[in-house]
Amino acid sequence: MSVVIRRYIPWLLVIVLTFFMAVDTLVLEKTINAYAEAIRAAQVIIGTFAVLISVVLFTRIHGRRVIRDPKRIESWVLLICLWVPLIWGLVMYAFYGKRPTVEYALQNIVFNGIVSPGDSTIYAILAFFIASAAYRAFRARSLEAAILLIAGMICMLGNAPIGELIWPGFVPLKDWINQVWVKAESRVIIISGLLATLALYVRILLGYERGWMGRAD
Amino acid sequence: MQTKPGTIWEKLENIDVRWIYLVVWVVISLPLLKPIGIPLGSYSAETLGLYNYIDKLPPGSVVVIINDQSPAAAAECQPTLLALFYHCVSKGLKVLFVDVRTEAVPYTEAAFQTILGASKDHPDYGKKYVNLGYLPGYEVGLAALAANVFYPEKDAYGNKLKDMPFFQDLPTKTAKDWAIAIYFGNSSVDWVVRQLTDVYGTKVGGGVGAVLASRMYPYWPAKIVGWATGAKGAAEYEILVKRPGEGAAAMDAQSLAHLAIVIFVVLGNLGYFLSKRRGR
Amino acid sequence: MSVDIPTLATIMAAGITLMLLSYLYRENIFFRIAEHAYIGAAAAYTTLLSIDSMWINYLYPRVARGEWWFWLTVPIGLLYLFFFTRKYFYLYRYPTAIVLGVGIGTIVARFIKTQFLEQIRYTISESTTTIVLLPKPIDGILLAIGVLTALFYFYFTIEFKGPLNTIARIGRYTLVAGFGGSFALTIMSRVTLFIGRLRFLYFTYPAPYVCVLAGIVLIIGIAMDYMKKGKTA
Repeated sequence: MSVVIRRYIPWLLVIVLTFFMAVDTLVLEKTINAYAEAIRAAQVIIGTFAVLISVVLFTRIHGRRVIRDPKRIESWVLLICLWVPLIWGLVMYAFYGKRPTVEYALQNIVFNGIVSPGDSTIYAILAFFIASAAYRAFRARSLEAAILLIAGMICMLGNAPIGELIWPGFVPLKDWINQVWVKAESRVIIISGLLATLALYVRILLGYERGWMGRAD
Repeated sequence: MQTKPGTIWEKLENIDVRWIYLVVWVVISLPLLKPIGIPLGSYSAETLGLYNYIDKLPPGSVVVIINDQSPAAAAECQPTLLALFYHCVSKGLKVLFVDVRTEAVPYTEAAFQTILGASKDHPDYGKKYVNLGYLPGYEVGLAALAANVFYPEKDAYGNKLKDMPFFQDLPTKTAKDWAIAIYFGNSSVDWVVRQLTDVYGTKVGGGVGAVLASRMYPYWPAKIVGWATGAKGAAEYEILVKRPGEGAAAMDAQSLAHLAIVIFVVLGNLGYFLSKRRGR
Repeated sequence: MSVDIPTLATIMAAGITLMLLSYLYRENIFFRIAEHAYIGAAAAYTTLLSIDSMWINYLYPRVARGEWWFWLTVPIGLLYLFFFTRKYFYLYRYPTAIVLGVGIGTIVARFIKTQFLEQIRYTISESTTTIVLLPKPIDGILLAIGVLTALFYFYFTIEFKGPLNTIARIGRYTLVAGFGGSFALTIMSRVTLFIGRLRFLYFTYPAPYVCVLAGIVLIIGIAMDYMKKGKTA
């Protein structure tokens, strides 16, 4: 019985919902479509609660760190930046009716002040790492590496206005590489990705893939 | 014991990587502080495809903007979003904004403030322009919206969608009524094509980060009419609508940065081959 | 001098940007602080907006209409928190199963058409219509050959010998040529991001003053590193 509740009922839920939603996408029938819309709304509501896992996980990990070592500044910073906006936002919402999208302090200090510059800068640093990798590691050691480098250099100059200034031929060559070779490569990645994803879905439905269930019982 | 590097190439190969970072920083900073004015050059077929499609739409056509911008994507996508929204406003098109991630919400609001000067208080809000706000569920959420445009029930400001004139004359209240859906972001356009074009025949466009551009080609031109690739695409669209902005301003720095990286690669390979010939 | 909230936000943004960029010199405490601040703030912001949207757009309208059964989604959603227990961990699988089942069902029927059948169809149809650089129909044929050989390259269940090896090699060359183009696009993207950050630092008041302060801190840091190196040498 306990195995039924622990494993088989969740698995059955996945199978039933998968087939019901697949039927809804293929069939135009009012009752089925209405139930499917309700299930989609329910799924969105349920899925929203998954963000609570990140909040609890950060609090647990970094809470333990500051208890063990109170001088650990970065963990304190994370906990403050997590809980202060959260409590502020919830209080403003619950008692003053101010939605997070319009709450002044939240938008300015939290989003404009921390989230937006943090997200952009973390990816922007990659520009430097690419430049240093281009200098130190990209070597035309084989024919494949040479093709990759030559295609990359032509496209880099074709993508920037200065390339057309140096030699107008960079732009049509770049277009040729993008519209023939990049298209072919992307198409292959899409098709291969689909086959791999379908295989994964079939394994989930047949019960061979149990990674989604988390920890083993 | 390691021998000291001999030739200039060997010395250059072992250079402290922070000098390379400094060179990149200086190369990008100089044209920002003192613009050079490199001409933009020819327009790409991808950008022209999107521009021409929007330009030919009759007034009153519904353009849906699917905003998937993170702050990282916004540097490339937001200039295109502003230029495209300006284009739609000047053509008298109806525009529906949908944010599919939480971080995109401020960028939609910024688009309203920049182009119209106001969002929910604008006189045409609810008639020509609607902001649905954050729609959770990503592909599932978009599928539900495409099946029934009243799925979220309220817009970003809490107004009921069924009371808005924007939706009154839409015949089917599904994605069939949309002239085009334009995706702004960096993650993936497959799900947009999957849920809109294949089911309802809605054309798709893009204002995407350059990282995503390679994934647009397989669907072009059959399902995707065109897109603006990164900052260059944004600059092209801004010049086409005669509203130069951040995209055009970044082009000098972009050019020099690309040239610098090409020079790095050439120098590195030159050193490698010359050293190999000498025989280490 | 009074500082209003948008100015304070700009100062914070410039500070976070420069603290993160300090990683280029070396890993340091400023970078770690900025990184952790970003992670915490991003988690808080995402949580608040998700809850707000879920309540305003999905749950409240439906229960206000009398569909009281939607209240059941709340305890089901809260079952996610059993992820952190040992004894009742299995309860976490219920909301996961619902999200997974609906997600797979919505996607799978469309997947096969868009990403498989249509891609094959367009490869065949574009073999005669694609004209980019070379005369018709060479570009289209190259595209079709590229797709077929690259797909063949991923067929790992037989050994590539003789003509099969040639086909696989052509597929490999197609893939690396495509990766070269994608690499150029990636560089364009990252450089644009950095340009955006620099434009903010140089032209948005009062960010340039924060840059000057950061420059002073960097010079002090470099001097201290050199002194430490001199002592240990």
